[in-house]
Amino acid sequence: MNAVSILPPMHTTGWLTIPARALFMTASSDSLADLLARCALHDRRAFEALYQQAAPKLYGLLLGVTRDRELAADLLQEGFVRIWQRAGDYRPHLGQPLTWMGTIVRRLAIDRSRRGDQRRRAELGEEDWAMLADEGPGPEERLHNEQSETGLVRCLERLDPEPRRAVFLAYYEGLTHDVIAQRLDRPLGTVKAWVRRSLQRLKICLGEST
Amino acid sequence: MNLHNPPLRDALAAEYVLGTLQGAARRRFESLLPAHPALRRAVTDWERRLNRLAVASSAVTPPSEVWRGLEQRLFPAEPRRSWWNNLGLWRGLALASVLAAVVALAPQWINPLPESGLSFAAIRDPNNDVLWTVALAEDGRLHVNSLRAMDVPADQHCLLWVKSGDGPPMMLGELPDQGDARTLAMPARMPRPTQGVLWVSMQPRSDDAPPAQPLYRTRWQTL
Repeated sequence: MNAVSILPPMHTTGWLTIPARALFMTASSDSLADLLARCALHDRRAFEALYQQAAPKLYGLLLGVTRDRELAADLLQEGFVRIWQRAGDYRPHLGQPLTWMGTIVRRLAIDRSRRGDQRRRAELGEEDWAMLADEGPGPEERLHNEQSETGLVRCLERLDPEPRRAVFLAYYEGLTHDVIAQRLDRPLGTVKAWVRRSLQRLKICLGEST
Repeated sequence: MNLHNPPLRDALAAEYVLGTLQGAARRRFESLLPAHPALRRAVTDWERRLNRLAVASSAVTPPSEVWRGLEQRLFPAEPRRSWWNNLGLWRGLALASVLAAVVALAPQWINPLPESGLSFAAIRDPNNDVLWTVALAEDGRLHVNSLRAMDVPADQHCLLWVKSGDGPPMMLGELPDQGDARTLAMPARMPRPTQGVLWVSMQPRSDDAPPAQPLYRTRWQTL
């Protein structure tokens, strides 16, 4: 029996035909997939529109992981160089465009912060971060507002609150097991088990338990 | 690291992507990646799963230096070529001029004259850079020049179409995309291709269906 996916279909039209509105309307109305397709053809205007639309989210992601504005800006620039160079590699089966771009920049950030075992001293303290990252809802609340990610939200809701919090701290703040254990005031072994089990449960819930 | 144990392999890939695999274990995992396709696949799968979370990161406006730096790195201040400085365009026009001379000096060769002027078209990107020139030869064939090598994905190609009226566009052929030239034969059932607008699409090589909308479009001009 096939599970019925409640996820909306992936954006599959970007590579087949590129809407003419791309030529006539303002950049902000173009989908990220269309813009990536045009970047593959070395369309600079599309690249600028892609940057304007995606850079704030990616910079926020990098700031969360690095807690360092200068480092995050460097990584954002490096990431967009790669996005421009590899735009032709993007395919819908690799995920939404922002997932694909998030992979590129977050990989850079984690690589940088894990290069040494010593965690770089954060430039931004918790209060600075709260100011920068707006005082609005956190990632969990924001996810709920993403119409395109209902399946992911449903799977995250099946995790217990504390293990879910541990996964979020690792993803959005780039924290390691020991720092998460300190933050949540739980034994290290417990946190490790939470993260490991949560990841497996997420994978199964997302329907890819191969 | 026992990479022959799929559940362990998958768990390591997951924590590698999340960033919780650290220290010596992380370095060892990275050193194994190049030689282990199954491990790389597991990493790619986890990146696709976990980075769906990126959409919910907080949006923070990046400093303006980032965009300026990108422009400097990716598009160093090359003198912007305007269309009249474009060698390929002039090659196309030179061809058109030769054709014009042929038409003017030896009208008896061509029966009947296609039309009074010579038709050509320049297909431009939104930055107004010419990507292709198209010239209609007297024998009804199209001479197409690609002016810039383009990074078209391997499974895609660019097709030239003519769109007139309400019907679907008619395919004229595949466009060169590596700064080279090509001659396209006109389909037999084709009416005059200059009666219509030229469309360019990029689509999978396996799919030659007429596009609903073009990637680029242009009108014919006459010399």
